[in-house]
Amino acid sequence: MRLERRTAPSMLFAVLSPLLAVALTIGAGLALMAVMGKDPVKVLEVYFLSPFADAYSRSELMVKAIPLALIGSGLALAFRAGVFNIGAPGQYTLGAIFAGGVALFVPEAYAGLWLLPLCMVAGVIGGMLWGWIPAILRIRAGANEILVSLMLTYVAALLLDWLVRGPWNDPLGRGFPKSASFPEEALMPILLPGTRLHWGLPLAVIVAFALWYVLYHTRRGFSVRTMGMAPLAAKFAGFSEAKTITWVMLVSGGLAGLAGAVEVTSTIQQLQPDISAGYGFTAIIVAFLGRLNPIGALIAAVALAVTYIGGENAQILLKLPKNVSFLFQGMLLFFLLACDTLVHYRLRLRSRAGA
Amino acid sequence: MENQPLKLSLTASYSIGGRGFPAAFSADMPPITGPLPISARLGASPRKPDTVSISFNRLALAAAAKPKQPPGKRTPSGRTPLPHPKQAPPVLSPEEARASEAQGAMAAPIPDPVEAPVSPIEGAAGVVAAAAVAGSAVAAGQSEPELPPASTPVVDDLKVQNDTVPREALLSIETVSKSFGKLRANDAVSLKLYPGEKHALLGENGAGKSTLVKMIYGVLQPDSGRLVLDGKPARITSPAMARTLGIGMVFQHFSTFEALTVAENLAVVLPDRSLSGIRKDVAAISKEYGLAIEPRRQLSTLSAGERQRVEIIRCLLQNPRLLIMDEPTSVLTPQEAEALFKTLDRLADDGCAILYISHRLEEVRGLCDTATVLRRGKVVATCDPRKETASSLAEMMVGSVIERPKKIPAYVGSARLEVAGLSVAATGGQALHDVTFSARKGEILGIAGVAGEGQSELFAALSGETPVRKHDAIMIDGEPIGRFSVTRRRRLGMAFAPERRLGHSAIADMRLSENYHLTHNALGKTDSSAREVREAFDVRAEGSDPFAGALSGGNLQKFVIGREIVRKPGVFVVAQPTWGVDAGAAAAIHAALLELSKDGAAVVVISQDLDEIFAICDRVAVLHRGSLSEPQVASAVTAESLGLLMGGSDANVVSLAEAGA
Repeated sequence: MRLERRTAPSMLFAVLSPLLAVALTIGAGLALMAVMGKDPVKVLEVYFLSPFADAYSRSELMVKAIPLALIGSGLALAFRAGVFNIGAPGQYTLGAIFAGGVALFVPEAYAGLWLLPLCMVAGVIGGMLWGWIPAILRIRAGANEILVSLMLTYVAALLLDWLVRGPWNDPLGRGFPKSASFPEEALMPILLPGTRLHWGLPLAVIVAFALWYVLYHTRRGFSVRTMGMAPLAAKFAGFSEAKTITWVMLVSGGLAGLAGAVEVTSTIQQLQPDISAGYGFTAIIVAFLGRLNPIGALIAAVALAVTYIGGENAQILLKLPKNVSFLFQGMLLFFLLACDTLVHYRLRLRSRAGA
Repeated sequence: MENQPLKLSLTASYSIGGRGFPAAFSADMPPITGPLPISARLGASPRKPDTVSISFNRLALAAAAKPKQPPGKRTPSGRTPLPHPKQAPPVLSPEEARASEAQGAMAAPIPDPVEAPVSPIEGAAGVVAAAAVAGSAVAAGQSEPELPPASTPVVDDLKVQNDTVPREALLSIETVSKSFGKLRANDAVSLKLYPGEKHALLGENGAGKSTLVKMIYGVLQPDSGRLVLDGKPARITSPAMARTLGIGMVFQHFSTFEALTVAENLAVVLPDRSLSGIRKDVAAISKEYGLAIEPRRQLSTLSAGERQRVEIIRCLLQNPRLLIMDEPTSVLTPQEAEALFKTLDRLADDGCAILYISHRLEEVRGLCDTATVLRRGKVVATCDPRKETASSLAEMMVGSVIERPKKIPAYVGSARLEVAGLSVAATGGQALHDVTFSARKGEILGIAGVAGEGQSELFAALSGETPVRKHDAIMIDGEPIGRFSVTRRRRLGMAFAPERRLGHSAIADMRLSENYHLTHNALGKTDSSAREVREAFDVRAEGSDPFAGALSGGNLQKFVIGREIVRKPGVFVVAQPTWGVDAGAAAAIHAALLELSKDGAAVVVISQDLDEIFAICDRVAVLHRGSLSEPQVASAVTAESLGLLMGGSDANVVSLAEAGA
């Protein structure tokens, strides 16, 4: 069995590949559930349909999609340049820490409407800082940005853990590892009364469209795409590799940091050891499912949000472990990569075909 | 037969490290009375040949010296021998020879080709006797399962193999058609390839040559028609299958792995061979055929010319019966090309058919014995190129007469590009040593040299892709620019076109409008556009804004060159402007470069094609091991003298002579 390059890949299937991957994931997931003795119809309903069933579920879907979209659209940009920023969870955590620091330590007497924007800016700076470290190490020392950014994820998680247990621990928190609650001025306003849906949604949409514009209609975006497709041609075009690497790491890191800031100022409202629910890694799938296009990432974020909401529902109603969400995410990525591969290659079953 | 002078030919084939090397000898013989002096000839070689065939006046005798190779390891001697178009020596194994003796057919013994002289064959009578022996030997040997069936036709006709006997085609292509959408790339194309034939496939870019060749090599499947291999219809479904059938191909765009070494790249296609064995074979082949290559070098450090050598060696390692060469000489020096032709001649003498794609008509006329001309997917002519002129061949290809641009001595003014004492350290490639030259207003300066002598490093230093530490080592219109970036150099009026089209000067997955911006992004708003380049330089492709990867080599090159020329640069540095480009496109590109220089630009052409250099350059310098010779007036030097400089004869000789004068 071997793969053979197709001479003319079907354009139709190149576009349909993400949808096909979603369909295959659902099919394989249901088959697995059936083997486990669950009623597949029920699983389908609880897992994939209930998140859309009512207004509240739909708003929750959006709440989950916001950080995924923010991180995913930034990652799409980095991956387009061939820069594999796998450290979004760390950049997200740093953004949360920076935003939380501003929210917690600006004296209440001075707090005003500007506090929330300041938290956002601080979050972006935190994420950028964590993205800049792998960039500079790759440029100066040739260090692999995949490894450096991934390892910094753990540094960030431990830093947050230390902060909320130590210096930033809530004095009135009875020793629980968490910070004090953020002041009112630092909280994200609710968009839709009666739900948790907040102003992060328009922010994520604006960010995605802005990145799309940059990627396809500016010289900077052109340099990013050129470097990803042909590094030699990018150099010939006069684009500095170092600048492009730094830029995409700052943008993707900054957006991950923004997502962290948005998340802690909206749904969590304080700092605690676990703030991410794995958004940083799931966003990698979001970026690829969205065809490395920022607007595609916006749509893909909703699809991935289903696995979170569906997973929670399945845990309650079907007594399925929560980790089934990650199983579905993993299957989705697997099927997506398989579909993409098969669009460009065909499988030959016999290694040496006869005449 | 009595009236003819006797002619003795002796062909011996050696197998060294899995490769076969033929050795041939032929002479007009006076009447022979004593033993033939073959042992003396063969004794000179310490190696025993695998097979030896002897023929008198095309009457074949043969014997094999070594036992057959074990199955699985293919060597030329293990390969099914094919009837040679001119003289077809059948190969007999010792068993066959013994069989004939057992039959006692004729008294004349089969000569032991190595140890014993072929004796006693006396005069014409001996020839007939020997022929009869050969005949009966093969007849007796027909029951032998190992007997190659191809030797039978020779024997059936005892009256000697000659040109009137119909030859069996190795591969015949029968009314093959292939369409891509609306485009009919091949329309009922028929072609026959005979063993030992050097067959040229001519046609402009887009004429359907690549499509046809891809079908032979199993990359594409024909829509209708069929391929017949060895007289049997064959469906070649993959390149791997083509290779097992003995079809090898040297591509125009090399399919190699950048991060692997030469030997590792070869090991990929020869999975059952060891790396050390491959290294040995590569050394043997590169020595034998003058294809110098170091098996341990990493592919990414090789130039286009060197990569091509790897491709050729790769095919030779697989002992092809049919070798397809796509524009093989486009990056070779005249001497290298000559060496390649000798290689091809030897392979053809060995029975290998060569399908040779080239736009260099003189070369085809010198090398090939048959030519098939394609135009718009159809065969428009099949001819003997030796009996045609280059212009008559060109006319067949294009359907009209090509106007070759004429070199008019240009007005040469002050220096626009000055390079003085430019040195670059080697980082994986070739270092540059103290390169000094200037290109003046209105002139085209040619930089000749074999592949991999520092051309890419020189280009990168001139373009600014690798800036130079010494700021005044490069000056444009008197301004030092050594440390400037590509963009700043462009803003000062420089333009560049690198050797590699896809992946360097253009990106396959981007549209032409975007590819246009690769070199225009830093220049602010310009009046020109990709559309204008296409119109001005006749870049032909389907669609209003196609992907660069969809363009043929010639059209993409016209685009890449045109993209720079529309900017009206003051200094234009271009590498290999017409590599792998058809005659029409090459003429257009040359005309554009001449026009540009006439308008006052200084043009530097880095090329390995001496014809090109002589066609358009005013002065020429040779790059060898990173050093540049003194530029000389092109009309005052010969290809031979340049060839010597390219081959490494001391470049100082020239400059010393000039200094002394």
